[in-house]
Amino acid sequence: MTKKTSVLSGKSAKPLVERAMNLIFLICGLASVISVVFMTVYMVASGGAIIAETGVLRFLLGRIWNPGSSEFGILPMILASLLATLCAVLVALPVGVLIAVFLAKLSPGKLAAGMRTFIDLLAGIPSVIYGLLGALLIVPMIFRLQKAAGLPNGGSLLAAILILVIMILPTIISVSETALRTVPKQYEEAALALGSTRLQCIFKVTIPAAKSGIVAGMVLGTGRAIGEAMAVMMVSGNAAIMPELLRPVRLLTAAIPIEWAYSSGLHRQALYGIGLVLFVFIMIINILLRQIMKKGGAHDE
Amino acid sequence: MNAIKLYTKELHLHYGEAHVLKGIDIEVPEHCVTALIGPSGCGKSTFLKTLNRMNDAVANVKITGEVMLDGEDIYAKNVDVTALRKKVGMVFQAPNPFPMSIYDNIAYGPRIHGEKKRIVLDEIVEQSLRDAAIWDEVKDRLKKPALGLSGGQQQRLCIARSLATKPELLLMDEPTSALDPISTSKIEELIDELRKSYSIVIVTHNMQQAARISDYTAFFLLGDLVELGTTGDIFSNPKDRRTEDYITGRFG
Ligand SMILES: Nc1ncnc2c1ncn2[C@@H]1O[C@H](COP(=O)(O)OP(=O)(O)OP(=O)(O)O)[C@@H](O)[C@H]1O
Ligand SMILES: [Mg+2]
Repeated sequence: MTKKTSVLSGKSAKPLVERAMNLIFLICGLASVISVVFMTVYMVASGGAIIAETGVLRFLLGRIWNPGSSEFGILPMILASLLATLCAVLVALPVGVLIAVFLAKLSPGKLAAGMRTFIDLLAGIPSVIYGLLGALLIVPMIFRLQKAAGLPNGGSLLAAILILVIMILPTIISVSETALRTVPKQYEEAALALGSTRLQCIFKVTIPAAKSGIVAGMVLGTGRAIGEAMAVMMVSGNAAIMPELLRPVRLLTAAIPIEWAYSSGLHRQALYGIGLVLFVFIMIINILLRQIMKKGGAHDE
Repeated sequence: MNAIKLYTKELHLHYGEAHVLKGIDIEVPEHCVTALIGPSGCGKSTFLKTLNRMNDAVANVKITGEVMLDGEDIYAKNVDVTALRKKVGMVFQAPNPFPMSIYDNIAYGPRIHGEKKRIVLDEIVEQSLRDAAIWDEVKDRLKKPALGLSGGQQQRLCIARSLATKPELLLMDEPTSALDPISTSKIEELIDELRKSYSIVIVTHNMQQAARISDYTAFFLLGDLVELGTTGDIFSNPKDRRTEDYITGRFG
């Protein structure tokens, strides 16, 4: 006769440990939700007042920033932030993807491994170091262009873009490279067997198949670029005027630390207002890019 | 007997130290189906891949001997490998459609070989899908992702994708081993149809399948080609004792 075991334990179905763990996870999850909600409420409460007082449109579209005479128009800074981020991503994305292709598909293993370590190191360097590098190397490199254009020498939008490109490249490269590596080998085999050259295979099959990962890298890069304050502050000259490539600009992120220490009253509230605008921008960009990413992902399935 | 499409002479292949193909001499006649059978690991897939030079990318591979396709040595110095692979199509064991639309999958080959005109591409896509007996199932969803098809449909799509580059020789490595019996019989019917216009070399572990669909059968064992003959002879009247043992299931 065979022995039959029972699957009934006699106790409650879920052991105590499991229930306790569930509770802990729930609390952690709630804590993160609550902190986002709290931050949103706090930002709106502290930055909303000055925006309401100045008028939303006058605050967002005003061209003059002059705290001395209580003029708080931040359009130049908004444009500078958007332009710097957009240009930096537009430059860094193709460059980063090409480097990732090289590392994942074309370079010999040893070289790729060495470069990868190097790139990971770059991603961890504090932004103030990038700022120093920019101020010492990139800003002077632009002097000649500025001279040719008849403009005074100094920090510029171009310098901010270049420093942002350098800062977001490691992120874009390493995320894209991982995505390229995980493309199933069978796709590439099929492409080669149909008579593709190595490059056709990479550009027409591998990169499209890695699209959602590459977009993820772009999202992270964009997030880092728009949120960066220290490095751009050190290379961009910080004049709150309408942005031009070779003239100084002030980005939203830099505006706050620059004036924080000596601001008070309305002026300080205006800095809160800038914080709120930046916060909303980052939210919008994140949601938009995530949406794009979801669409890209759905297409793959 | 039909004209010879491809033959090999003293074809040896080494992966590093391992001697995987030990002097293969085979003839593949035109407009016929040639089946390769033999136990696992005997080098059938490896042999197939030498015919479209898919082994080139493997590290440490060494190939000697001749592979002559229409009288041209495909391992000669001045061979254009992309042109070779256009002429010699390949279908893999597991269906491997690209993660793109059905249309783009089929149009991929013609596009990389320079075809840009929409009308021409439309025509090639339809014809290839018809030839692979899958047109009726997908004609209303050409823009949909190919990965949404069933396994059997995906495999026929991959056959259509190979046909789209207008190959002359078609290599198939166990094309039905991942499929259910109904999809399998569809693909067997398809192969029967395709032999009219293409020369086919197919690897299979399924003896009945080899007997059903092939004109010639080659029996491989441990890197040697033991016996090559008409399928009728190999299955009912094998000359070599080892062939007989294998097809009657006494070893392997
Ligand atoms: N890339 C490779 N590097 C080294 N050895 C390999 C490689 N590919 C195959 N081999 C070896 O070559 C031999 C032949 O392999 P092959 O895949 O051609 O066998 P097969 O006849 O197709 O087997 P199966 O019926 O299981 O598919 C095997 O011993 C295998 O381990
Ligand atoms: Mg095999």
